[in-house]
Amino acid sequence: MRPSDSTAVVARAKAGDVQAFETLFRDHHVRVHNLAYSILGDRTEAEDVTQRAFVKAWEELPRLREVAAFAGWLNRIAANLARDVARSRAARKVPANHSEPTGDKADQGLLAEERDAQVHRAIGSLPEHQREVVIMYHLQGVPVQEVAEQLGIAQGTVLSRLARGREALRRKLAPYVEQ
Amino acid sequence: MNAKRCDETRELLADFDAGLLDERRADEVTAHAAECEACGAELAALKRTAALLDATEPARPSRDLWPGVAQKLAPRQPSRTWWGIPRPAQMRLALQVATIVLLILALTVILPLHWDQGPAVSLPHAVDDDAALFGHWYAQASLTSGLGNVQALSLIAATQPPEAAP
Repeated sequence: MRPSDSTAVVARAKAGDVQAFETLFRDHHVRVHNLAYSILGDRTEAEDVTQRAFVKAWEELPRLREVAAFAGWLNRIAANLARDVARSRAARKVPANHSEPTGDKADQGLLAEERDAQVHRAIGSLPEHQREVVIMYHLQGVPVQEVAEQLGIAQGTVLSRLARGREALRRKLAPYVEQ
Repeated sequence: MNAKRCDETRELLADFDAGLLDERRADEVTAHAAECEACGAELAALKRTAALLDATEPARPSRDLWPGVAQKLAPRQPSRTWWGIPRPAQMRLALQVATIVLLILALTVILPLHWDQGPAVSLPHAVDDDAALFGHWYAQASLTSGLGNVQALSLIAATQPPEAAP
């Protein structure tokens, strides 16, 4: 979706158009789910947070001034909700139900699944501003220019955050990237 | 290999990999990484990190989450009803402004007026009457005779009616 189209859709949703809001949901829910998953490490909790984030976004949307910064604003809502869930879980001392593979580690599918889970956890440990650009650029394949437009930041800022994020992830994922 | 040069290069590798360096510095990093095995390996690890991230599948929800969202969306109020009454959010703002204006009015106009009246002191009737009579005489004497205070007071004392005498 072109950014101008996206801005128009946000404006329509802001005015109460549920169909436009569903379009936004379809465009952004995978990213929101990944953000929540990277923080929580649990797919079921991440799905719950994703739904709650969109319901909250619908309620708060009339107060959003910069419709062009919708994606970043939505990310913050989702990240705050996910952190609340993580805090509540920590207070109850419930361990995260990480979706770790079990069984024969020689199985390539399971190894890939385990590696992906490790990558998601590593991404979840990044500062929020790095995490969102890493998810958008690397996991979702959104070009730098579009990441910048969706988050309302400069392209140089996106590149800088990507550089810092990758630098941190290179250390966290050392077993996978060192030869 | 110069350790200082390696440290400087390592600090620039992530920016180099992201294409953030100017041409001169990028050339320096390229040249150093080509001749220094450790820095070259570090740069390769950074590139493999990016490749690993690119190859990682985004976590996808196990089901369609939209129906669960849709059923919780409250209908949005239109910005203004057809007969022109502002929507609730605007109404709330108007009420807040009106409350503040009323408070300011109360503090600046109504309360000072009330205070100007002073406390209601109820004097005994006799004292009150005497004071009024005295005031009347004093004022009359001052204004009509052109006398000073002392003379006016003397005049009042001399002309006091018998019913007002103590």
